[in-house]
Amino acid sequence: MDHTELIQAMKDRRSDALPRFQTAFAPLVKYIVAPILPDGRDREECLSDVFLRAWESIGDYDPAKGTVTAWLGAIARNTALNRRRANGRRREEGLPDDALPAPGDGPEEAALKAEAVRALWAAVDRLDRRERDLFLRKYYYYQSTAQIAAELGLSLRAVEGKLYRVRKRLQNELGGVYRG
Amino acid sequence: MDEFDKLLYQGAAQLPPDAARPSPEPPRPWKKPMDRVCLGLALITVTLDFLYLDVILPAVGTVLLWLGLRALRRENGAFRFAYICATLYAALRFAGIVALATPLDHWLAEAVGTEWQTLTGAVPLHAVVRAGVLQLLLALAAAGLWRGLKGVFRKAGQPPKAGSAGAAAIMVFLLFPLACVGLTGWLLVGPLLLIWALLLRSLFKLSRSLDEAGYALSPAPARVSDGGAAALWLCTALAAVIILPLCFARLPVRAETPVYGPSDGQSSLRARLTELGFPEDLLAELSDGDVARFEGAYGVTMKGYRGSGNYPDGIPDITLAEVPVADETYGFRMVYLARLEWDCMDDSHLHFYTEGLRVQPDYHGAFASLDCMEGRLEWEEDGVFHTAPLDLRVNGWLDYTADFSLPAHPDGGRVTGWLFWSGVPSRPTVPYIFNASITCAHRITPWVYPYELASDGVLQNGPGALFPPRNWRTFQDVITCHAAPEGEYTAIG
Repeated sequence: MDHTELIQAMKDRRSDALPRFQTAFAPLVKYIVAPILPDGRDREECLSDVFLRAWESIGDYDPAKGTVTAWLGAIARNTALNRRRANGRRREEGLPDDALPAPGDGPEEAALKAEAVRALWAAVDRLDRRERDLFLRKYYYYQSTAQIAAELGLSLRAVEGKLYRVRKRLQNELGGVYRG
Repeated sequence: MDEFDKLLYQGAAQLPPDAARPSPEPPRPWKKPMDRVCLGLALITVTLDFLYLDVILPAVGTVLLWLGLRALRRENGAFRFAYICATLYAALRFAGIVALATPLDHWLAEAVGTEWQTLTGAVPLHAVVRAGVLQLLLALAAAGLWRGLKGVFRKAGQPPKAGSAGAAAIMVFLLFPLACVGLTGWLLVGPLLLIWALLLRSLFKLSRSLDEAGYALSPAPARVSDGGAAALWLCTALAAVIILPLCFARLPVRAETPVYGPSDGQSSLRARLTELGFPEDLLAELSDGDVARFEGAYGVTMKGYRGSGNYPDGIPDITLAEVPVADETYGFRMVYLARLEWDCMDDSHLHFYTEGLRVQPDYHGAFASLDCMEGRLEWEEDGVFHTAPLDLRVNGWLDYTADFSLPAHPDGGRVTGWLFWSGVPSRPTVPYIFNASITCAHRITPWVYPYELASDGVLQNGPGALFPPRNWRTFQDVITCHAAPEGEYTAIG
């Protein structure tokens, strides 16, 4: 069964669709969730949450807007990030405390944040393909430098050097928006 | 993590409020290694015999295959096995590239001696063994890849879809007997092209087969970046390819300083030869041993003696003496002496790297057999007389070649070569006119890759060839000879 048939089966709510969907995409979801949720039990629970959300929101999936892996990847990442925030373990892991958007922002603060986000993604779009890939791996998918190095066939030092250059470039491009 | 890092995480945590913007495609951890493995396997199988692509493409393919499997090696045992095979393959391929920059293959061919008969001709046995081992390692690496991919599918909890990898392994394995048969050229191009097309198709399917299961794959970390490892491998090979042929641009000269005993004069034989028309100056250059070859002479024909000397640069002046001598067993024998004179002037722009000689004493079956084929070089250096033997190798029936270099600094730039051969006539009572030839080759470039000696085909295909050798100047002297018993011999040509 290819992706189109599988998605259609999910949309048709066929009983065998979800197990098949899980079998096909569990490696992808695990891959995305793993760097965000270091704890194995968290990951397992998150995995179930992701497929539940996928089952519930499959009707929203529009193939014209992107591939099923991109759509499911976004669900997996957001679910994992929500779980991270919810279980309050980010501080212990030394990962960004304030990285996630805080709930309950006022309209003015929300507008400023939206502007900052827009500026950041505009700057990311101006990076070349490899730099954009590095940025996404590091800051969007939370991959460790070691994982990035292994997957890109680079040494740790090389990845650190490239990330440093990406950060410098973004810092120059964003100017006052991201100077804190 | 500094403040800016936190801001980046914060900003990247959400996509901009822009509905049209799609979510980014997740990274694909298997894509880079698998693409490299597939491209590597494809490039290794390509053989394009122009612009050195027959060396460059497989070399790049070898590095890509190795890099791809290096990233996969920690995933499971089968990938590790494939990686070991790819490492051995890369090492052997590297050794082959380096060996092609030196005369090593020629020396090995001489040492081993045995040849393997292929569809397109005889090939040195060691070359066949090397090609076979390479192909076997490649097939084993492909088989390891196949088993490794099955392991990845198992790990992902999905049914294995590694059939294309299995097909690729079988295709690569099929190339093994073809390599042993010596499938070069267009002889069996149909099956080869078919196998190659199927192989590429398998590889293409292979890189796509991991679309979902590939996320279960964890590439291994590397201390040296792929780019660094590839650059090291390719630059070392390139340096070897550039430097080594220059180091072996000249073959070693086995110079000897002969000590001749007191001359027994041979005055009567020398006088007889002079009487028959043998030039005195030439005779004076010959040792007693040389002159003794003409015992029983009843005729002399000189060819090229004090001729125009209009030979191409780097090609020696050739003088040939044909001397029939009486023989108790066979009635008569024909004795030939060729004198070759190189002019290696130090102040000229002519450089001497390696030379080649080919002697074909009889095109027409005048000889029942040759009982002698010898040669040597003679020169003086700092006033001391030197000689060096010319190793004439048999290439077939009455076909001899020699590869050598001239001495670097002969006095006056003069080097003389002497060739002697004598043959027993196939019909001792019948006069016979036949052709013989001496072909000379002079290498005009210091750098040749793959390393080439004149006997590699330059001498065979040199003069008058449709595609003359690029790195050599060749000249062929065809001589009309006359074999006849005493009383019927006359000078011809």
